[in-house]
Amino acid sequence: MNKVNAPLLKARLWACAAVISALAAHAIQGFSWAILAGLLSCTACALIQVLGLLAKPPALYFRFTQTGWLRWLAPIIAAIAVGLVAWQFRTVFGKEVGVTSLTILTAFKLWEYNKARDAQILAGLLFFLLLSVFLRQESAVALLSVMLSAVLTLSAWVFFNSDVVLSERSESWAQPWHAPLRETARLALYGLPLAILLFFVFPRIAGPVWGLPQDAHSSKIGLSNVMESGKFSNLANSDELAFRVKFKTAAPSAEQLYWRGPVLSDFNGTTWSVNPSLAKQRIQASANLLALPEVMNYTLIAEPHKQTLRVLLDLPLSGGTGIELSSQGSPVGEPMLERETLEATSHPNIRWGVLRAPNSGNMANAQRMALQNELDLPAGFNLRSFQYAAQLRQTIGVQEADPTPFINALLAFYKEKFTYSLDPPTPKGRPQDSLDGFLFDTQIGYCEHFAASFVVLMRAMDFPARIVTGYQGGDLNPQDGWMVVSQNSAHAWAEVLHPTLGWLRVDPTAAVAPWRVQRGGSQLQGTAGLAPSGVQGLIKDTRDALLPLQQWAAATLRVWQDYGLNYGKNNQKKLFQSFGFEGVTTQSVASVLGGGLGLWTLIMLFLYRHRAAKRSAHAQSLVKFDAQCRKLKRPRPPAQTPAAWFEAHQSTLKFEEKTQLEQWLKDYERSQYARGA
Amino acid sequence: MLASILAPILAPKKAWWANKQNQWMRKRIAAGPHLLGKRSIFIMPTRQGVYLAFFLLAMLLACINYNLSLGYMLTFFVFSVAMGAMHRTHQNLLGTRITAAPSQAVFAGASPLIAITVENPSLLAKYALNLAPRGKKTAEHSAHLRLASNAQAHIALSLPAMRRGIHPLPTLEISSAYPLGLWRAWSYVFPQGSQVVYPEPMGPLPQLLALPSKSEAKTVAASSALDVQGDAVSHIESSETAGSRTIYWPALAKGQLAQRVLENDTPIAQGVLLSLAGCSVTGLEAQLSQLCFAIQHCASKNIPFVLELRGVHWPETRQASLDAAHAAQCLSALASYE
Repeated sequence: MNKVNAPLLKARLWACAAVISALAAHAIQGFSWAILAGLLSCTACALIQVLGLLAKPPALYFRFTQTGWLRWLAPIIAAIAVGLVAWQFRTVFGKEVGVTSLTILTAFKLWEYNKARDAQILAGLLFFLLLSVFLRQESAVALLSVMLSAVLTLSAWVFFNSDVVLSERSESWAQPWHAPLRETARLALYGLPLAILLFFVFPRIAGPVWGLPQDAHSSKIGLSNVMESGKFSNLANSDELAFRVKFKTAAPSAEQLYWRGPVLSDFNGTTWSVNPSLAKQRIQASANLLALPEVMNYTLIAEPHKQTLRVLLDLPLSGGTGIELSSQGSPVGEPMLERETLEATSHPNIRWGVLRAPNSGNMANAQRMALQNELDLPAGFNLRSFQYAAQLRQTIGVQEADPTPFINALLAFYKEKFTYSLDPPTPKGRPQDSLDGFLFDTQIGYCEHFAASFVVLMRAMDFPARIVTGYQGGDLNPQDGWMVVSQNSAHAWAEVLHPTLGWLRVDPTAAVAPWRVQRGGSQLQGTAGLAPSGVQGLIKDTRDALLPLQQWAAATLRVWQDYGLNYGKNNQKKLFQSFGFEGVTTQSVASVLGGGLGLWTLIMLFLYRHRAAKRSAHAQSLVKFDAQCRKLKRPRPPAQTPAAWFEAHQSTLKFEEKTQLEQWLKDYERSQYARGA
Repeated sequence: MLASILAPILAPKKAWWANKQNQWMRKRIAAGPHLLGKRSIFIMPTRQGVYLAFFLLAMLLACINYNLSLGYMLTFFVFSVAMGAMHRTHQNLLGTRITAAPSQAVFAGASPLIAITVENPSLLAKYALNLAPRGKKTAEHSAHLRLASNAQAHIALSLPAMRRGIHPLPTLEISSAYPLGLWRAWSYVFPQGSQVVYPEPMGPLPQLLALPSKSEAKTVAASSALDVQGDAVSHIESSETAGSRTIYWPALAKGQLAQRVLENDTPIAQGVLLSLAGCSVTGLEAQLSQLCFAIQHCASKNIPFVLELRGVHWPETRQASLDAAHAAQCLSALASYE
């Protein structure tokens, strides 16, 4: 009765290892309670199997495996856990709920792992779980961890099919513990060329096949048409790629590297957003402007973010096909599902929105009406700011129409009083009054706070002002000539309308932290903390010494990003064209896929058939012996051993034949017991 | 519903198809011991393989929907491994040599055991091989084995129980789903020889008629001349009433006398005669079973015997024997009796 099925227990241990590796692949991307629950389940399951595999399994083991109600424990815990997941997310649909439930179900499937069907279901669940790692993040680390886990999953499956299917009355010999791993490694190695071929050649389809849950793209971070408190500090912590640029004309200086995105002019006290009506209007640069000598032409490859917004160098004149300019000078297009290549033109010194000289009061009123969106402030909040603005107005001139002196005064105020930090304290009081708190109490913040408070103060002084979001800076790689802009370069600045110069760019952040603008955001992470300057110097020296290495790495990264991470419809087309095809057509795909599959199959046939047909030395020598027998016209019947044949025929053999066969028999017997025969 | 309507229509087609398939198979696979070559191995995806195809399709859809470039990599990787597994499964059978020896005779109702030798002359180990009679994949009639390189295994495979008779050995199927269970490769073995199935031994013991000793035979032979003209039946009846011995009248008709031996009697040196006529049950199969039981009984009690069926005697000399070969011969005669 108390008998254990050792191969099954070992198979469960293999399965535990596979599940743990998949959970680890998830944990690298972010730990959650579901992963912890899964790990606990795996560990408990593995421990029980180890108990069973002991020379003398303790009574506890049999108690657990043979008591009926205990077997229901795991499914009940799993059901409760899935219930908790639904309760946590308040829904049963969606990406996060799905991934979390899948994690739990996979980890608890281990408790029902007895038949080939269970092994199949677990492998399927694991493959899905591994796929969901990429929903969290697509990166080289994620790919590596997923592939390792996939190999372990396959090994567990191989083990089940090689050992557990053998029943008690089966004939077997013990194989080394790593045999399934070796088998899987060979399968993976042989399969990889086909996988890579399919990866590149299988036609990529952009966009969803069916409607996605709302949180489908939540993991993609980047700019949006709304600015809420704390948003930019999230971006500053991400070194994800935003876009890459290659200038055809001379590259702009660091101070000119403002990448213009959505312009936010509506403010409700806590949130800044794009004005819908202004965003709908379009403007177009005239041919004269595009022909100016200082224009900059460049190629920009943007990473997909599923939004209509685009980012181009300030001030964009043209964004290439499919890109339009809103009346506020922001580029917009279709929702970007795939990486996009833009051939764009910008001019660093042109400003939109020069006001016509107010000939009459009516005209001035009409202009003011049009600018109302850029003057509005929620009434009754940030009273101290209004007070401060009124005071400044009094000091400089109530009737002054030129905003320049006010701008300068404010910038001086920022420079004197404020500190840059990505982790500012939260001001006390109502959230709608937070700008007051920032301006007069905490005085610590980053671009988002500086720009917002600056715009509020300018509006309070009756000057039209707005926030521009985008990126600032960029890292040029001299190895390949591409400038890389990552999410941590996200930035917000202000624009103030000058009656004769148009919308002026004012960056209060530059007044507080000039290095932020000179060096761009990519080095923020190192300097945002409180590291002493000596350490910072050391970091800088090391950084400089490693620069060439970094640049090579960056160039490699670009290839990896183009042909791995972001390989999509456009890159596929390019790849096909570089091989002389017209594009990704049925014909080209069929020919490449057909040819590749055929070649792969031939190689597989050779690799597998050849190896199988190869006989051991022992078997080969028997074939030779039989050939000799046939030559002597006395073939050996299958039932007769070579020794018996020799015994029966030796008297009639010639001396040479006899000695030869005798020698052969000795060799044959030796090869039977030889190592690695 | 549809199946029940179609079944009678398709049944003859099915048989025709099975026959064609068999012919085609036999053309490709030599009878008797043979090395599994690439022409004789068949491969198809298993149910699990079909499920995996659906799993992969779902994964592909997820990749398209969420634009997961690396997800494609994982999906295609698993697909490629599954495709590679097809070649591996095929390879796992390739180069295996199977010899099926004609098995020993059994009594009806018992499972015949067929001795199979599986050799692996190749350099690669063979994993999770499964041997079973074709179309009978129950656990008790299949054997699983694993063979190291250059190793051989001897298996006694139990065949499904058969009816009395001499049957051709059933086609055997060797298969493997290693390494992933997604593909199943199989081949057939057509063993030479036949399976002898004796009747199932079943009591009660038939009448065991003692063969006459040499002296007795003489006296009876004299009296039998009279009896041929007289009333044989009454003679038997009178003898029965007289004692424990009776005359075996068909034998009498041929000028021979046998006498019934009671079960509790001590073994009789000259032996007994077994024949259909002595059976106490009706129906041919039951009678053969009874004779089979009697042969076993005689063998265990060391009673020499002669078997007579349709006038043919075993042994032909009509000298009762206790020889094991004689017993086997008699049982074979029962097996092939029609």
